Amino acid sequence: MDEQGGFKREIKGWALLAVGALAVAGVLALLLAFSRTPHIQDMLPWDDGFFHRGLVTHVVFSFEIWFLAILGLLSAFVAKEQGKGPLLGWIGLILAAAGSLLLLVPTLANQGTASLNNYVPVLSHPLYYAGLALLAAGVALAVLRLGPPRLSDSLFAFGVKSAGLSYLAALLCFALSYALLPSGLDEAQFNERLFWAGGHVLQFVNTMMLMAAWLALTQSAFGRSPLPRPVAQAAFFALVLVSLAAIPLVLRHDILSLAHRQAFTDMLWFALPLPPLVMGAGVAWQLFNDKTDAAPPARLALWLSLAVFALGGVAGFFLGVADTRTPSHYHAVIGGVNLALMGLFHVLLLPAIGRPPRQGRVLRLQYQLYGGGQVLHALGFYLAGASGVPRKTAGAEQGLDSLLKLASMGVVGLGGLIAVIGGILFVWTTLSLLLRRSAVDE
Amino acid sequence: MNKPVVFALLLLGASLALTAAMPGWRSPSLPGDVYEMAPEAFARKVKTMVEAHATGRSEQEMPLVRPPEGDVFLLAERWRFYPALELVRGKTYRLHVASLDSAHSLVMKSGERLLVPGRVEVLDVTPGLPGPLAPQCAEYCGLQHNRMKGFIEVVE
Repeated sequence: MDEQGGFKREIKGWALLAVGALAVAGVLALLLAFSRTPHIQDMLPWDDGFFHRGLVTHVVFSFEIWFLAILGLLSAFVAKEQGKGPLLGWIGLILAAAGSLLLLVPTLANQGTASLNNYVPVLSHPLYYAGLALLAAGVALAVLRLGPPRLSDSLFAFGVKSAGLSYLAALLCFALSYALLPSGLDEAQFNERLFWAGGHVLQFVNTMMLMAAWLALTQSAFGRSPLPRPVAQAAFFALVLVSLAAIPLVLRHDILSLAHRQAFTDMLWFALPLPPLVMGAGVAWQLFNDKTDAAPPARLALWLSLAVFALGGVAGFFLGVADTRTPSHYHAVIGGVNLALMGLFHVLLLPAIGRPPRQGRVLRLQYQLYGGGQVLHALGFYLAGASGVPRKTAGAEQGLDSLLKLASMGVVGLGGLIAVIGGILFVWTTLSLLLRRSAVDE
Repeated sequence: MNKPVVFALLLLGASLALTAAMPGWRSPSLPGDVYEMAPEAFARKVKTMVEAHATGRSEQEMPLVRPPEGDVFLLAERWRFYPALELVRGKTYRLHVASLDSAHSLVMKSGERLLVPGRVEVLDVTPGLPGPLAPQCAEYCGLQHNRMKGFIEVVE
């Protein structure tokens, strides 16, 4: 097997893990819906506890595994360009895939107490933590082989390596938090504080992947970067430095204190917005001033990604306490990142392994449905939260006792359904491309 | 130095300045007192207050209590703030809040206090306008955490 062929297979492997994770999350979402449907729920082999366990794993697959597998995928793409460490990449992929499979074991066996703590919800079961550790280690190996970002790297490689460095900082935050937590803590408090600091740093990683995707899409669509090279490098470098600053911040306050919790919330408020704002402005400028698109659907992906991410970003400054304004924010920012990553798949990653998507209506529809659905979903959640609907509840627990609350949650449901259809289209078409035989494999 | 490099340095500088300036580096000074008391002993104080000042009505399946100006006791437990309170506009209350079981927090308009078993947080509250004060928990404490809201109504 030649080295370039090996890298292409590794890219395909990470892509299958990423998109496969979305498919598993989708199946779990269906099972969750069935588990709350009269008569159908009686046919399932699980009791009431499955709803929260399934919800935890749905979130981990659609958020953690999807994004971390993308990071592995991007690292493989850059490694292919730079001829770096194919063996570490393969070991990393195997570990990440094994960890992901391990997470399903307690879920489907309906074991472990569900904890809906922020950032990385878990099942309190040894296999679940082991699965997360394997996943984390696998992605760490994939990014470690790249080494630190260098000024001579291509902008895309610089961005991916920066995201990788921040990812390692996040892992260090998780490890420090674990070391600082006293024994005998309540499970809810333990998990919340274990994942709080590192979970915030992971949002810097996700933002840098978004920015790298914007770079690649703009380059593909318009033949140039959205920002001058030094400015783009400074945008990534700023986020790396802040991610590293999270490490002393973990040590600054008692890990169980209010100050510790508020410090990382401050980090997202103060330190995260400026670099993506600058790069987003550069992308918007290109979109307004250049009507071409040399690589469809790059333009569509960029427009929708900018709009949805901006919606979520603004919402992030006007959150409530425990109401649905919070999911409004994170669904929209995640949606914005996802739209850019979908574009990256279609414009860069799938063509790189000889599996370009077919151009046409179905391709554009994925973006229109997912992006449009996410906007409705986020707006509905925001209105609902502003009128007092609590988050992470279902059915009667939501307390939908006014027309505004009912209508808002109706919009949430409609937007969610539209977005899910777009997501299913993406997963189906991408898996079909990945799993078919192609010239690369022959 | 050309313009892109200058702009890059400005962006880097601004990001680092914002990071250095964020309040999270500083330990916040929290107004109000804190003292230690065993959860069971605090629960008995709450029970005494409820027995002395219950209105006979209930809210959110809890007794509605109208305490006199002065010390008021509120218990946080999975997943409620007990009891429901009716406070009078313009009167000053010293609200003693503690957790019975695990870490919670109390968020009201005046800010947030972390609640841990064995420690009582004291807030001075002088309600200015009639209406709900709506205390909420903002420290993840379990599956029903997002429904953990108290009932405090300010009346004339």
